[in-house]
Amino acid sequence: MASVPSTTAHDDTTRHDGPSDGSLQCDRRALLVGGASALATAGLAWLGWQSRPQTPVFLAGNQRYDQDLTRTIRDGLLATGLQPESLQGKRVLIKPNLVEPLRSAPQITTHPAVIVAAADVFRAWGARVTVGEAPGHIRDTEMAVEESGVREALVQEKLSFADLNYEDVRWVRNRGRASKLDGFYFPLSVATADLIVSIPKLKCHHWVGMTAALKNMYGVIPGIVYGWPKNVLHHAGIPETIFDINASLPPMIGIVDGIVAMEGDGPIMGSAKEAGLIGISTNATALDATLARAIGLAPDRMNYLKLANRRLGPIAERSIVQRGDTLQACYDPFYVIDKLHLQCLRST
Amino acid sequence: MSALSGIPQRIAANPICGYGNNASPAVEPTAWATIALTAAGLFAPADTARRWLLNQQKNDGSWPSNPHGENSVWTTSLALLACLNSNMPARAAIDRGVASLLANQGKSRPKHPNFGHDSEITGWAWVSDTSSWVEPTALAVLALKAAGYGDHWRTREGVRLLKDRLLPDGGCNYGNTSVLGNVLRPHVQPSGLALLALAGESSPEPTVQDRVAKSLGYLERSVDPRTTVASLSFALLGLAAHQRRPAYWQSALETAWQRSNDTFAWSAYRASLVVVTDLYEQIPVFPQTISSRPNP
Repeated sequence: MASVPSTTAHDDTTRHDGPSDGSLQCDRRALLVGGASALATAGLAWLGWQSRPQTPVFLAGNQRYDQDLTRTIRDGLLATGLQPESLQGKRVLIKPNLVEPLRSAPQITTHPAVIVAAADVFRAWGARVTVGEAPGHIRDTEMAVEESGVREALVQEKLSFADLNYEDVRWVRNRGRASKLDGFYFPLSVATADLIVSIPKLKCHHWVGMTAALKNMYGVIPGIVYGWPKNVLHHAGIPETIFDINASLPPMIGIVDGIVAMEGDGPIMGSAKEAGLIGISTNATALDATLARAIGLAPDRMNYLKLANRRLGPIAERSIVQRGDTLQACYDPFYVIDKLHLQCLRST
Repeated sequence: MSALSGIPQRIAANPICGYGNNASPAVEPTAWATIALTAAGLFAPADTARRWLLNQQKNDGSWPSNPHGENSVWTTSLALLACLNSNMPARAAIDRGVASLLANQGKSRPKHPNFGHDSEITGWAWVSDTSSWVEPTALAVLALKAAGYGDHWRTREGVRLLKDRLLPDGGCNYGNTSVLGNVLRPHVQPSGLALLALAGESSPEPTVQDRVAKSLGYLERSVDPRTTVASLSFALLGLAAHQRRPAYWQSALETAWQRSNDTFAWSAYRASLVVVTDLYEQIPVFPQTISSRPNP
């Protein structure tokens, strides 16, 4: 295993490609106040990362889809501060990544075993669990559910599915304000969730470097308002809208499927990478920053993580405490395609 | 008895419909329901749905995708098809809808080496002020042809875009051919819809002829028990428009419909697509007849 390169010199970045520092200062206060209020209302105050000196992220290496992932996920959630008693009766929306499924390329979408294991954990803690997705490239959601293998899992586990592309929607103010968008239309299953669990596939991404817990939230945006693909977001700026969506959502945590991940030309055409990794945190920004380091990218060079830094969570290594396996043990650089805008994101 | 029998009657019970059970009414599912009910000869509920559609038309002639989809473009084409598929079309509303469609165009931009398609061609976007994509362009081409605007330069440009987006090995996806040098994969639904819109078009270019032929082959291979309702419906519509529907098409559709109902709640949208596919020959706004329709 290679050693993890230090990115300390770049940590706590304040420079970014978003709006001026003045407007961000103002927005940050609004965001933090609003976020704390929402968490308190939902009874999920343990999600507040600002009061902790370090934010915990759990990594588990050598994972397989045919092993007891329920235990891994439960351990990871508990190790990163989740309080099970707060989930009794709560609406939990599990959001996998089913962007463009193909049975012969399982590295594109979240494996059903991870979805089922997460659902088992949350149901055991008394939550009301729904799986929901708004695939970004295809209008036929039933096809996405079928081709990803998720349909069988839904039937076997008696899990309900919310087609987020076609649900009725509710307008929510954009609390990030990095893009020009005033707000977002969220599907009702998203807008009314007490907790969203982002369960993406860990992949290289040919525009923004990496897609994991934060980028996966593009998939809560409804096609009937934004189209297929959700081109309104692209025109408003991909890093900016990743940040804005996450800043405007109900409380969200991440469980990332990196067992068979994707390297190279992600999020669709990349190659399978047997990484054996599961990443978990109650803070998606810290989780994504850690996973970026694990696959050989520098989080402080990725625009959407720079925007999220210290507004949605920390990306600095010294602000994150590792649980489970060490970052060193899980470090396994992914192949990055030979394009300047991607090569400059590499940590070495 | 066919697994598909009784579906039109169930749609007729609530012809003003949303995408899912108990969802708010929306233009797209109601437009498909209108076309399906008319094809099935259930004219009274079809007229009820059509009147609702007419009431949803905005002052600028467009139809929104839902109460919040103020900038949506694609549903205008579907509402136009539903209004045109009638013995007594509402001419004024149709004219305003056509004007809206012609006035609205996807953003074009100079070609870029990162992308394989010709981004200078103007088609239609899902939402105003964004790029052109395959499905909204195909729907607009179908609606404009059905309205007698098949020779309009916007329709011709839309056809050019659809041909441009066909992949080398056949089929198309949402609208990209290659990105960063990698050829992308085709998807069934947009391929079927694009082939439906391209029916009756001649192409002197051998490359386009080859890609259309390969696309039809791709659609034929997609008529498979594992293909789901919406994708299969559009595949069969595209094949029907080119007289290439396989003999076993109806059993494939029945299988898909039954499997869908085993997993998902009733959806008037999916049900309407099934009926429209089943009764293709009864739908004069689809390409089988429009080639003989005179331009106004």
